[in-house]
Amino acid sequence: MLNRLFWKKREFSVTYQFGFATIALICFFALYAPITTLVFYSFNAGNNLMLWEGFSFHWYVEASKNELVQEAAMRSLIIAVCASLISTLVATMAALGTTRTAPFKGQKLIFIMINQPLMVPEIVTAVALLIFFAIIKTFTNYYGLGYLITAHAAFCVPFAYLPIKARLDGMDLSMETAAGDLYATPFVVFRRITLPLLWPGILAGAMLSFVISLDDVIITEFVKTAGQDTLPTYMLGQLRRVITPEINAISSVLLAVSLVVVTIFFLFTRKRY
Amino acid sequence: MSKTKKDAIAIHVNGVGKYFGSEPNLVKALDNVSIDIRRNEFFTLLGPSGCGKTTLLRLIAGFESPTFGQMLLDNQDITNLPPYHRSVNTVFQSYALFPHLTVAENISFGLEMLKKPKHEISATVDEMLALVHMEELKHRRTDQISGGQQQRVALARALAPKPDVLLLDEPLSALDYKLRRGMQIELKRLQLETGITFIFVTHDQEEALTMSDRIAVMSNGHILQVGTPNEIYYNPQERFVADFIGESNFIEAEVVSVTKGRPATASLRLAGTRKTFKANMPASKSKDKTATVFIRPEHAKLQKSTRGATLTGTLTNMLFFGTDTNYHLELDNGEAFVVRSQNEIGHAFHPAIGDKLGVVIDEQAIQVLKD
Repeated sequence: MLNRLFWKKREFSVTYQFGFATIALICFFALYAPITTLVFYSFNAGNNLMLWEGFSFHWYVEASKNELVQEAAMRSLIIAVCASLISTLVATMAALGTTRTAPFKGQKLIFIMINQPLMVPEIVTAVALLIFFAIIKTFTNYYGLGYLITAHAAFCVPFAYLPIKARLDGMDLSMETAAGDLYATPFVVFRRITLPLLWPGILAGAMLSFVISLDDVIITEFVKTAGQDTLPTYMLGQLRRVITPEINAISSVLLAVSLVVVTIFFLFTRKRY
Repeated sequence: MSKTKKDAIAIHVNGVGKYFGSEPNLVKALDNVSIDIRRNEFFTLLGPSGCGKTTLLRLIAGFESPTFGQMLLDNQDITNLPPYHRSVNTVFQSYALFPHLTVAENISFGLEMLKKPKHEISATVDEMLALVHMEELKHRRTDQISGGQQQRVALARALAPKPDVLLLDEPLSALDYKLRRGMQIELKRLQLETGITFIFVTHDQEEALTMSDRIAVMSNGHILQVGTPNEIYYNPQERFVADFIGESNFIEAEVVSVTKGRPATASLRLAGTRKTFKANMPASKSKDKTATVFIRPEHAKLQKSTRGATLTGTLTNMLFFGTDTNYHLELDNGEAFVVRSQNEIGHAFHPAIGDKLGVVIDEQAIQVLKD
């Protein structure tokens, strides 16, 4: 019956198969029902996660007044901004190096090495970083945010790399050749042609790594020193104690931030080319 | 441009080769090619795909450097000059317009790079837009215009810096037939108006014949023959050239006798017939007993009776082209032969498939090939 929703009959289309719409709806439900519930109860006036006691912004106010939340949020933002900037820069250079040079030996290997962090279980990376940074800490006596930023920047590189590389792959090399033909030196070609055309890819890479860094738990949990909670690790800590809709409120804000980032990205890259 | 300069050499290619890869997968894209392209000339590099014509173009543009050999532009060695230091501009097959810039910004790009003053740039852009009839679309983005218009923008962009040489890499291949015919005329007009040397790469022999002052026919990384469209069409030296340009009949002929001279002439008998013809004999063939003779289909005449005919055969097929019809014959010795004749109103001659027909060939239409 649901198939009738797809009233436009096509000669051949996977969407015109029995049960397709039903499966799609179930998937959407599974994806969004929990999130909807979470957002819904963030407006709960009472302090119960399951019992609705009336509409209120109480928990948002509560969360915003909580100094620990404020600090964690600030820390999350600083780390995410720094990490996404660093990883995007590195990823851009890596993408240029793997697409805009003459094919060289070991190119494939480099490509695999850049993307390998996506395959390595995050817990392994986390443990490795914990041990590695512990060694550095004893030598340098530095205990600041630098470790978290470095760690986040490192695991964000492949996330930033992929959209940038995809964009570069889709960019016809002949435009850069044409600019060179029209008396532009290699640097000017990069500034006037490559970079403007690559911009949506770079933006996508930066946004993606920003979001990835913002919600990272495992690596942060292992690398952070005392008092270096980010929002996600703060929330995790809270879950071990009393759970109030404050968690829902913080989650909803995080969700909103992600949505805003995605929307901004969409608006910026909606260019027609 | 003054008359004295007209015959000056714009591009001098001297023993240039371009190899890709290494043994055992060495590809000789160009092998020891030498060519002189005159100033103010519409010069075409013609050949099938993979013949090296685009490689030669890219070498002249500076996108690649030759494995060996030397190239001069107006007597200046440009062999190792990067593309941005050569007064050579290219119209790309894919147009390669900058999608983030408008039509006007695309055209002004080269001028900006040459650091021309602002008023000069805007004047030249307007001039170029007028030249390619694109004034109204000045501020459009390049993906908001049609393929034919993009083609014009690509042309204007390459012409704007007024280069010494304009390279065109199969620029018309993406256009449909009508548009392509229009652009052929347009290109020829632009070349005459601007006085810039055009080097045009194509695999389309018709395009080459209609537009070029001279044509170089290429195959397998070599230049086989350089000449005017007339020379290439009427006096191809090799079978490949004859075969690639226009339609051709190749017939084995028996060399009866050779008269020495410059050039030597031979007395030939075609495809087992008795009558002998005289034709110029290439020096390299003077000792051979047989030769391949080449005859254009439109240089042979079809007649109803076999009496007095040079060759006789059976009609196997007829292809109607509108202005002409191709008559495919099987000669008495089994060889295939095509006669092309113009269709006329009230033509009384309507042969049918299976008819025994005669072919009359003029002595002048017969040519002996080098290979």
